[in-house]
Amino acid sequence: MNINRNELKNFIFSLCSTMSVSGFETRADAQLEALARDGFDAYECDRVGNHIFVKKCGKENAPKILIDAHFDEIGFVVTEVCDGGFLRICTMGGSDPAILQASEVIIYGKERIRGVVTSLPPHLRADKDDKSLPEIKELLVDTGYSKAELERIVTVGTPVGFAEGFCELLGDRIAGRSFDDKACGAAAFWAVKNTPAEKLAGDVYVLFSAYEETSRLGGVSAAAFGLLPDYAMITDVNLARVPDTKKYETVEIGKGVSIAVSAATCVPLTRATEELCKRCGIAHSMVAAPASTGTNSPSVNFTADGIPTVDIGLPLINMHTYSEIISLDDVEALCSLISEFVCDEDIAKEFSRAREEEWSVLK
Amino acid sequence: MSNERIKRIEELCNLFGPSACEDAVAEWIIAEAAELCDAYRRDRMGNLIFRRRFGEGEDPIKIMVCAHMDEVGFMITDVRDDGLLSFDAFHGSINESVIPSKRVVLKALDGSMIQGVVDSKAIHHKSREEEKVAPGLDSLYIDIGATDKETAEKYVTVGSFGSFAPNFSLGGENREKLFGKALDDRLGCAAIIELMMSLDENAPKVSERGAEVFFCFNTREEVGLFGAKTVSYAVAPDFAIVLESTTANDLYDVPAHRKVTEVGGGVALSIMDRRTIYDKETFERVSGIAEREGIKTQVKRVVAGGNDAGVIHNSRTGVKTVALSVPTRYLHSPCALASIKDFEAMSALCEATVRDVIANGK
Repeated sequence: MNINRNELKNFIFSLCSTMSVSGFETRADAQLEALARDGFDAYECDRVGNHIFVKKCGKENAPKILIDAHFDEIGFVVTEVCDGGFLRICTMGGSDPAILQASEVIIYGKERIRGVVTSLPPHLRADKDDKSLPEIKELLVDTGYSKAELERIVTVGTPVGFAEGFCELLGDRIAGRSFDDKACGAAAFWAVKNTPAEKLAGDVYVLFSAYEETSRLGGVSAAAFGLLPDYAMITDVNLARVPDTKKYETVEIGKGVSIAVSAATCVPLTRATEELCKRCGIAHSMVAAPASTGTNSPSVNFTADGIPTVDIGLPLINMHTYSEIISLDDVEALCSLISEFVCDEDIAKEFSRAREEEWSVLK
Repeated sequence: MSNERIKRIEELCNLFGPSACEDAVAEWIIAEAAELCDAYRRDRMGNLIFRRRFGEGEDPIKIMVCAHMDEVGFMITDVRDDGLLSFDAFHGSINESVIPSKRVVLKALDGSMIQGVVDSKAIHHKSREEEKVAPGLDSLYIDIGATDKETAEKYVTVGSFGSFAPNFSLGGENREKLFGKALDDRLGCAAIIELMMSLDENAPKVSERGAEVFFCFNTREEVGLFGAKTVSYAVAPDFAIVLESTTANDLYDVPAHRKVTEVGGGVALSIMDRRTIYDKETFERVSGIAEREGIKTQVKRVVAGGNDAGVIHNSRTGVKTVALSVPTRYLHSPCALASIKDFEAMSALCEATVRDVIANGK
């Protein structure tokens, strides 16, 4: 597909700036509804907090195709408002304790206010060889407010997210927060929006699902059950190779999307997607995820009577930090794959649910 | 709170100036302040010194007011085959636990600035033991987006300098708190510029002896007080004021005796730190001036840290030296925090002290 890289990049930055700390995904509904008006037929924020964008192909009895990316991001909630304008927080999702100190955060209370996570200056470190990390309950967020004023703005339960913005590195690399998994969400939205309706092989449901980072089931189960799509593609970020990591547990960034072969997803659909990539010249690599993909895929694959699901990864460095790095070449490959996937008549034919129950009668 | 003051602090803090790489800060200060003085020079250590004469006397008292331009930073120690950069933080001046995932800027070979982030192993790949300790510098890498050594070396080389990325912002009630890198010691630099402006607008009362004030912006404080050593030798002052940031450890759960200073508690006066035992008489005199002028002060409570006073007070035959500091939380991290009120107190007490010394000729 024809992609304007600059527009795509700015769309990623804009979507990833939206606050969607796990459990607070619905706060973005007005913004997403406004987005949906351009290029989609319907938008819904369901009872779980999933956001669903619908694009119809205009044909009768068309299959339903689900493209999922989880919309929630790792973050924190306030657990205590302390004297001196400090906040105690706990994690929502698996933030690494190693990146917390001296991080800037936004506190999403009645107003948006800034804070910084406390740290110990080297001047006061008793033992220079002591590399132990404080647990998050020992750290504080410093807001610079007095307690009285802070209590007006923040309560226990107020969400807190990282504040770091976005930057462009050399070549095709960009760095920022919440690329996990809103960069995939941006790619899915972008690809489906820019694919002409008449080319679609079915009605397409772009799902921005809730609770991936905090719940093993994820909001995706409720959405998959409610929509009962014929088949599905799950897009999520995948751990890219950095020094000190094992080759087989990682993928290489800048070499296209990864496609997981797993006992927890649909192998025939996975192979069909691999063929599609080869046919369309989309950069990809196959990765083995024997028992689980660590993404939404198994939840969808085993919903109701089963939904054939393929698991697609976008390579990402520094996962669960505010300096996640992705490659725009890889994002473009993902956009192309999604666009080809939702238009592919062969896949539609093979993986559409039978309209009437077919029983083979044993003689 | 004047907008000009905030704008000046913001611009200063966002400048690139790790130790031995202070040119951008020096050039900015020259552009801002050159017309306020009789003369200025940069010495062979890169220190920036402005001079201004007050009165006609033949034996003017020499007053040195100084702050340091440099900030904590990094140096590239290896450009790897995969395009990632290994680095070292100066002399352990940065607590490793604030480095992972942070944004940095590097000075490229052509003089432009490029952006990078600090890569490390994702939490998903860490063992339970690894999760509990800060990764050492040997397992952190600066990623500028280069995919191989050849590409990276178009931009940087072993010995290239870096710092935390510019991020100044205001926060807290009435936006009176300053957040950002390099508050240490661009706040001191900003206070000297205010002093230069104030002495220019409102001429001081001068003793018969006359006075010569040296406004000094030092280099390489963070790596061992090196700049101040040569400046104080060259200037040979009778009286020195060091404007600094000092640790504030006034967090919610820290016992009172460990709170070195308190943010919002006024300008901090030092009795003793790891490098200096301050002259008692000068300490009393400056405290007295603060009381007379109604300037809020506090005394630094813990013997920790050190600043340029450490090489000024014992320069040549000895110099009466006072350190005035803005209490600052999270020093040497990508985002420190201080109060504009404390900065104003430091600026006011510095000015009142300089005027007092010029007026008394001692």
